[in-house]
Amino acid sequence: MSGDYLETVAAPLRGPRRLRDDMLAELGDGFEEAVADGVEHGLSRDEAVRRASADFGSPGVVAAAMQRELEAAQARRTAWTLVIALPAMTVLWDLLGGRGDPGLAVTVLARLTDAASAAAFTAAALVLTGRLDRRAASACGALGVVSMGVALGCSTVIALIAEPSDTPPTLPFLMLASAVGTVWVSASALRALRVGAARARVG
Amino acid sequence: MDADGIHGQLDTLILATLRRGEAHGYAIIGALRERSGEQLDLPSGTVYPALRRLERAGHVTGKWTQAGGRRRRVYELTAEGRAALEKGREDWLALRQVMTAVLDS
Repeated sequence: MSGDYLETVAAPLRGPRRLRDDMLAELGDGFEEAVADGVEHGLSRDEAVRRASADFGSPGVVAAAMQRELEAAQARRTAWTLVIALPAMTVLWDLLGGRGDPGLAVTVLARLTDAASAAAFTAAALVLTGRLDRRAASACGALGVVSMGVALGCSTVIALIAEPSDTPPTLPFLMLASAVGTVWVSASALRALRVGAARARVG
Repeated sequence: MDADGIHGQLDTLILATLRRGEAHGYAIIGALRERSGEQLDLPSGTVYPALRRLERAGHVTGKWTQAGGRRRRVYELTAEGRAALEKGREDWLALRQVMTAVLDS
């Protein structure tokens, strides 16, 4: 029966699995201690479980408080991914991009990509320095996804409009490294969005 | 007093229970009940995530221990936690003074 309470608390939780399991283990240990306390004071186990459930509070309220911690942890994880990956990807593009004058259209698209990366990087830096707390996971997730979307869109257009002579010889490496970075950032950003959405659902 | 009545003060109260030494979540819940003369009626399950929040803020450190066949996560105040407790206490006394002055005027 004590499992019922824990399962109800656990069901809506989303976020880093290790922290989630650790928090639930701690809550479970405390709950069992409360039940043992009740039994020691003469209650039947069923009565003790009912009393512990009432004392611990509505599973929804406890889950909401736990989800806030999971959201904060996921926000920091995604923020670290963004502050490491985005500058690395920007430098990669600058180092391995085509030489010579790329033309106005390519320059504008490249600057647009830089601006999207800078916005996501700024949000991540604010999270890591503790200046952005509310909706931190959603902010990091949304800006991470947007920056990757802009980068993919712009690079596709650049590939279509750039002259063949502009193509650098290191293009395969550039594309592979970009793809790895894009998948890494996108996966983390999407996780952050899911965790942020769970916070909105749980309360 | 229910949870809404102590809104914003729970962290300070938890830190106060750790002033005399380390404790685990269930002991902290017991200390809150006992020291409030059973007047504090809060969903005790929320104390656990509150402890994680305090740990994230650097006000306490937590570690798993094993004692008497029971696994427990034990928390201890940090120097920052002591400072936060002192500030929380001062803020509360200032608020109480303001409330008393207005209500009694």
